[in-house]
This record gives sequence, C-alpha cells and structure tokens, in this order.
Amino acid sequence: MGRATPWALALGQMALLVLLGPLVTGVIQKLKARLQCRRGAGILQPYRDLTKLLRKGTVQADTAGSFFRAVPVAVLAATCAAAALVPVLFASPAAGAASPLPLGDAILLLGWLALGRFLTAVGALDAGGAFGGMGASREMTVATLVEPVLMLVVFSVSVVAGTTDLGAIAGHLSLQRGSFGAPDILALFAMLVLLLAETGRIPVDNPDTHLELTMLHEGMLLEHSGPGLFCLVLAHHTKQIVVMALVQALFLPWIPASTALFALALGLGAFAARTLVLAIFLALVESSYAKLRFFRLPQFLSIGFLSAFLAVALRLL
Amino acid sequence: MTTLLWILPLVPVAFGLAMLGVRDRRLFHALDLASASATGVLVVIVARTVMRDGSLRAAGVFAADAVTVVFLGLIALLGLATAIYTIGWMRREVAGGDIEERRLPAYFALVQAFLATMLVTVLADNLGVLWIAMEGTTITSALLVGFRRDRYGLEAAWKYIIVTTIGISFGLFGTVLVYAATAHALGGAAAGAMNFTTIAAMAHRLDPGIVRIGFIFVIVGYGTKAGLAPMHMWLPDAHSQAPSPVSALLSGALIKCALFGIIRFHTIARGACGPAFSGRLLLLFGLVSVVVATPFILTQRDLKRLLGYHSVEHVGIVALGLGIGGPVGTYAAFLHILNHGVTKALVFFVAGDALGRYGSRDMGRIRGFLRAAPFAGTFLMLGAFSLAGMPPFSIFVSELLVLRAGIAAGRYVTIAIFLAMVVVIFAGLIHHAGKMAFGEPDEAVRRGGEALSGVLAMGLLAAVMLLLGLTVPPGLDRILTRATEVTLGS
Amino acid sequence: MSPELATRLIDALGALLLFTMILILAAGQLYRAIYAVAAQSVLIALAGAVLGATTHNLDLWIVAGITLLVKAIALPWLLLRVIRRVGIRREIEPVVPITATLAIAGGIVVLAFHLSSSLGAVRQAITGNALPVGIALTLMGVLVMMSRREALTQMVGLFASENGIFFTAMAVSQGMPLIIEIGVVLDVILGALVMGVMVLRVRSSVDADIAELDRLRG
Repeated sequence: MGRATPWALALGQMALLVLLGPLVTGVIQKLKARLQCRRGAGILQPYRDLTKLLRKGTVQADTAGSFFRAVPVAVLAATCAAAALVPVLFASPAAGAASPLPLGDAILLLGWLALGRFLTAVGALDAGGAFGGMGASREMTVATLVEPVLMLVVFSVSVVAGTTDLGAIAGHLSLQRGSFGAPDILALFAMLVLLLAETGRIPVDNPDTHLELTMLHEGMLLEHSGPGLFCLVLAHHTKQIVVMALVQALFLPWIPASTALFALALGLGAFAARTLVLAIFLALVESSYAKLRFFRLPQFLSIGFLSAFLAVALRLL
Repeated sequence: MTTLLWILPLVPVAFGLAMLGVRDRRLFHALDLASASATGVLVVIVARTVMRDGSLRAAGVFAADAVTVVFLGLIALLGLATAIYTIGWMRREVAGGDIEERRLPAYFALVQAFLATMLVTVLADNLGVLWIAMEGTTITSALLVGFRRDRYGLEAAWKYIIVTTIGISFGLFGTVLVYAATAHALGGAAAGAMNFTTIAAMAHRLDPGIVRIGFIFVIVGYGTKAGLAPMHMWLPDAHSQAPSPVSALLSGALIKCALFGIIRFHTIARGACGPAFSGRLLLLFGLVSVVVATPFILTQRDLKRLLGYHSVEHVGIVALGLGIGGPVGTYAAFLHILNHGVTKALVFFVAGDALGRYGSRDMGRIRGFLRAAPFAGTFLMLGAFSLAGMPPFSIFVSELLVLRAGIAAGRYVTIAIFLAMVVVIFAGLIHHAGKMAFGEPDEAVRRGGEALSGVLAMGLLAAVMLLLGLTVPPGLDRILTRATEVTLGS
Repeated sequence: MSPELATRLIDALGALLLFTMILILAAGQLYRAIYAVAAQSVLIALAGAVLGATTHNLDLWIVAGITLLVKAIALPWLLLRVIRRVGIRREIEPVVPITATLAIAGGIVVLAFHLSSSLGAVRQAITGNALPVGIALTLMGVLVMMSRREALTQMVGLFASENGIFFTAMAVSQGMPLIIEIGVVLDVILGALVMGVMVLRVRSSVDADIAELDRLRG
C-alpha cells in the first residue's frame, strides 16, 4: 500500500464509473423484468434514453432563472467528483495524500453526494412547482435520516483502518481479510439499508413510477428537460454506482494494490462481479417488497441507524 | 431426616394428583384437610430437628435452617386454615353457580400444586431451584387467579403473569451474576457454587461490585413478586380477582416467599458488600411501598383491592425492618412476616364471606355486617383492628419493634414518615371497617347461616393473631432469634 | 476448537443476535417477530455449541440442543398456531412508537456496555463481547414486553429476554448447572403454554386481545 494513486488512474476510475453507471441500472431493470416474468428492455436501454435526452430542447418554467439551468450541471459535476474518490481498481491512498487537500477522503465523498442532493432539491424548489417542492421536502427528510447513518458506518469501518481515506481503508481491508468482525455484520446491514435509500429504490422510493405522490427523486426531476435532465439522470446513475462502489470499498474489498495492467484487469473483473451481486440484491429487494408509506420511512431508516450505532458501539466499547 | 425435606413438598403433589381423579366434593375436602395436616405435622418435625441440630441439608438442593422454618410454619398454618375455610366457601360457590362442579378437581389440584411450589421455594438451597420454584408459583397461581374466566379475572391473571415473569427474569439475571461471582471466587465453576449455604459461608470473598449489581437486579426482580413499589401494579388486581381462599394464600404466603428470596440474597450481599448497601436499598423500597400504598388505601372502594394495597404496605414494612437491620429490626421483620400473613388471611376469609353474602366487593354496598353475620362481622372488626396496628393484636407488636429498631439506629426521618403513614392508614381502615360492620344490612342480604368451617378457620387464625399480640411463645422466640442470626450472618 | 476462533465466532454471533433483536423491536407484523426470535434461538444454540466445543463441556452441548428444539422450533410453532387460531396479523401501534423504541434500544446498548465494564472481573476472555450483548438482549427483551400491546409480542419479548439471560450466563460462567438450565427451559415452556391458553380464552370469550384489557384501575 505504498505508492499513491497516480492522477491518471484516479480520473480513469471516475470515467469508468460514469460510463458504467447506466449499464448497472440497465442490468437491474432487466433482472427485475425477468423476476416479474417479463422480457424487459435491453440492458443498454438507459444509454438510449440518455442520448435521446441530449437531442431534445429545454423547456423551463417562467419562474425559473439561470440558476435553474445551472443546477443540473453542478449536480453532475459534484457526483463525478465523488466518483473520483472511490477506489475501484486500485486501492491505496489518493494522489497527493501529503497535499493539503483531502483527496480520497470518505467524508469528502459523502459531502459531494450530499451537495448533489442539496442542489437537486434547491433546483426543484426554484421551479416553483408543487411537485418539486413536495419531492424536495421528502428527499430532505430522508436525507436527515440517511446522512448520519452513513457517517456512522464510515466511522465504524475507519476506526479499524485508522484513517478515513477510502483507498487506504480498502487496501487495509484487502490485506487483512480476516478482520471482518462482528461489528462489520451490523455495519454491512446498515449500509445495505442505506444503499436502498441512496439509490432511491423500493422500499424507500419507487424509481419506476412517475406518479407525483409516490416519488421522492422523480419529483425533483419533474421540471427539468433536455440536456438538463440528461445531466441529472446521468448523475443519478453515477450516484448509484458510486454508492455501490463505496459498499464494496468498505466491506468487500479484494482490490489489488499494483498498477500492473494484469492487476488492473483483475481488479476490474472483481469489481464487475461484486457490482453484479449488489445489483441482484437490489433487484430481489425491489421485486419482493412494496414501497413503504412515507411516514413509515423513519421507522425503516431507524433500523439502519440502530444497526450502525450498534456497530460503532461494538467497535469502540 | 434429610429425606423429610424431600417428602415435604411431595405431600401436596401426591394429594393433588389424587384429587384429579375424585368426583365427590366431600372427598375433595377430606383430601385437602389430610394434605394440610400431613404437611403441618412434617413441618413441626422439621422445625424440631432444625432447632435441635442447627440445620438440615439434602444433597445441595434443599436445606432447612431457622429462616426456612419460619416460612414453612406460615405456609403450613395458612394451608390448614384455607383447607378448613374452603369447605364452606366451596359449598356456597358451587350452590351459587360461580364454580362448576366439573372444574373442582382442577381447582383443588392447582391449589395443592401451588402449595407444593411454595414449599420448594422456601426449602431451596440451590438458588437456581429457588428461581424455578418461584416461576412455578407464578404459573400455578396465575391459573388460579384467572380461574373464574371472566373478563376481569383474565385481565388480572394476564397482568400478573406478565409483570411477575418480567420481574423474575431480572431475578434470574441477578442469580446468574451472584453465581458467576461465586464461581470466580472458587476458581472455576464448581459444584455448589449455586448453593446458598456455600455462598453465604464465603460471601466475604466475593467481588463486591458484582454482588452489588446482582443484588439490585434481585431486589427489583423478586421485589416485583413480593409486591414492593414501584413494581406492585399487578398486586391489587391479582389479589382482588382471585377466589378468596387463593387470595388469602397469595397475600399471606406467596409474597412472603418472594421476600424469602430477597432475604437470602440480603445475607449474601451483607457478607460481600457490607451491611450498608443492601440495607439502604431495602429501606428505600420499603419506604416507597408504604408511602405509595397509603393514598390508594384511603380512596379505595373495592374491599379486596383495599386488602391488596394493604399487603403492599405491609411488605414495605417488612422491607423497612430488614433495611433498618440489626438484631431488633430483622427480628421484627420475621415476626411481621408471620403476623401479617395470619392477619391478612383472616381478613381475606372475611372478605370472601362478605362477597358471598352481599354479592359485591364494593364497600359502599356492604353494610351491617355484624347483624347479617355476627361471627364474620366480629372477625372483620378484629381483623381490621389488627391490620391497622392496634394492640393487643400481633401487627402492633411487630410494627412497634420496627419502630424501636429505627429509633435505635437513628433513622428518624424514615420512622417519622412510617409513623405518619401508619396513622393515616389506621384512620382509614377503622373508618372503612366501621362503615361495613355497623348499621342495618340491606333487605336482600341473607342473615345468619354462617358456615361452621368458615368460623373455625377464622377463629383459628384470630386465636394465633391474638396470641402473638399478647406474647411470643418461647419456642417461636427461639426460632425467630435463630433466624435473625442466620440472616445477619453471625 | 481454538480459543481465538471461538472468540471470533461468538463475537460474530453476538452481532447477529443484536441484529435479530432489532428485527424483533421493529417488527411490524407478528410472524416476523416470531421468525426473528426463532432465528435468535438458533444463534444461541450455535453459541452454546461453540463454547461447548471449546471447553469440552458436555452440558453446554445438551443445553444447546434443548434450546434448539424448544425455543427455536417448538415454541415458535406454538405461537404460530395461536396466531392462526386467533387470526391476528398486524401489530397495532404499540404503546411507545417504534422509532422511540429503537432510540431507547440504543441507550440500552450503551448501558449494557457500561454495566459489563463494571462486571469485568468475572467476564470470561473466551467469550469476548458476549457479556454486554447478553445484558443488552435481556434488557431489550424486557423493553419489548413493556412497550407492546399485543399479547403474543409480549411473549416473544419474554423468549428473547430468556435468550439474553442464557447468553449472559454463558459469558460469565460457562452456563449454569445443567439441571438449572433444564429447569429454566421447562419453566419457559410452561409459562408459554399458560399464556397461550389465556390468550385463546380471552379471544374466544371477550373477543379482544388480552393485553388490551384495562378495566381494572385505581
């Protein structure tokens, strides 16, 4: 775990995640369709949807201004920055670990994701529509419950590694595979609950619906169109794969620590396999449960909170 | 001799099993009386042996010392009195249609099982056996509390079984901790690490911190079963809804058995942590019980609920006595256990009569008891005077002893509060009893026709009550003194 | 089995036990709570077996087997039968809201760790985290019993609490003597039977849930 990640590799990982994001969504949709005995669209369908959006024009509400137009770009930028921080193929402290900027830091990652969420919500409010406001308020309520739990989970894992640098954590865990201890079981469970919340899937939110009253994320996207919507949808796909990669970095790391081409290919294959497992998990959960009513969400999320809390307690006490 | 300890709880079990196959009601009563008499005789023999030889031990499961003898005597006496009282009571219940004939075997067998589990509880040397028997008493008595199967009975039975089972879980937890402390001091889990005699002998070697935490769990746990406040919520419900002879056993004997458990752990805690800790806790719970029970006694309308809250108060007084400690305080606690048990059973018998005669437990409806049933009415007045703490009855003596111990120990505030509550309750009880006893009964109330068995049972208990109020017979005095010494670990 | 492996296994089992306890606390439907307590009993039996294998104590194996048979299979089956007879499915909103219950549970865990540090002298090295987990399980079982209005959920809380006590006993003294353990299990069985009978009786005669009766006051 000696050398820092070269810049090129970090940017390459970011590009990889952004490009693969829609593919993961496509796979999950296909799995769900299969489970529901349908054929389903192809796994490349999200890409087609994205390119379609690029060709369309922008329609905007009268009350929205230039800030509304800037929001999608900012959200996509924030999410891509988060994507750069997650170790995918190569696990070691980020480039410039000795530099004043905390690159590769897990808390910074959470901060980028939170920024993206905040900007989406504000953009929705800016449009002045009722659905945007409702979606934004619901999203923020979920955020208050989700963000602290994310922090707790990250803390419980980073206590062992002694640092919040994601690359270092992943490298540390890869080397000591046997240290998956008792608190990690609870933290993993909490993280899986969070995965459902952050990716906006059942039972937290229904990504397939466009009924105003039943959606959180889609409500905020309602007013956007054309390239703006492209940015936001791409950011959503990227966020999904970034959170999945975060789960893997914290709990399922088997990431090689060298930049040899063979090692990188191996790392890519391992990443793909683990992501597939998580995708199957998400598809199964989505097909087995119904969406929770909104006022029951705090109960569901507090189960995650208690698990994370217990994980930290078991670690520290 | 040690085989006696095994036979003693088996007697009610055997009789109970026999009763399951009986149909004739008179045979039930005969078997009941026989069981009670046999138990009584055995208890006397055990008492004699213990006083002569010091203590009896049987295979690390049972043991009998002076403390055991006190409780055995109480259970045997109340068992006998209840058996006599049930004769007339059951006749009335069956005639009135409250209890069906075909359920009689279940009732009598359950009562015998209940008595057997109580005997095992006080005979237990192994703390685990003590716990198991306590849970056994909960199960058997819960079935008895809900025997009538009406809505209130079942509600009371459910609250009883849930609350006491929660409490007893805490008690088990405390037992585990004490066992762990003993095993640790013995260097590994040794046989006998759960036996009270072993633990008490080496109490000073136990880790005080662990025993402290264990005792806290035990006093909360077994205190729930004993009816100490604030864990007493189930008591008025259960003791009022149960059939009256069962209420007498519950209030008179069962809550004392829970106190037995506390006393055993008190001895251990005294040895391990010094006398201050457990004494202070007992004092606190006792005082809270006395204070909490008082307003409910004053504002009560249901006769048996009144008696239930009264039991809470008196259990508090026993805890006070134990908490004040010292030879006088502990002696007073044991004496009070006997006195209250006898008196409370007497008054529950009277209440059963009143319920049968007036058809209601509401004290506002019970009037002119002395005229309707002269004997029972007299016993009502005697019992009420005794419960209130008036001389020359037994409770006065034990309360006075607690008072003396408290003053000698310098606990003036505690004694002041205690006295204030006792005075208030005195006034309240006399007021209630007077309203019930005097005046003219309603037209519809049946006059006279008191069952001889009921009068006999009440008379027996009243005689004991009076006797203990006038003097403590030397034999009993020796037993109580010895029990005090055992508890204080000298 | 080496002590280190045993400690790691028992630590992992402890975490899973806490997880099942969370499921019981947050269970919306009755049968989920029952399955969770059955899973919990299986884990307890496993822990007993692990400890028995490490210390070569036959008693622990026997207790593990009994726990498996009785508390993982027989008692949950009994509860499920009562449910089917009575026909309840949904838990009514409990006395304390679920979110608050979970918050209290978090506090209980902290309390349990604090308590177990005071009990450090008797804590056995081999069982690792078992003592605070056992204390937490016991107290959380009591929390379930006190905060629920459904009689059967109260019984589930009772079983969970007994599981916790057994785990604690394992943690401080390699379990209690065999006779006592058997006696405790017998008591739990009898208690469960009596409670089940009461629930059925009240359902059939009063058509209400027994834990909701609250006419007796004052």
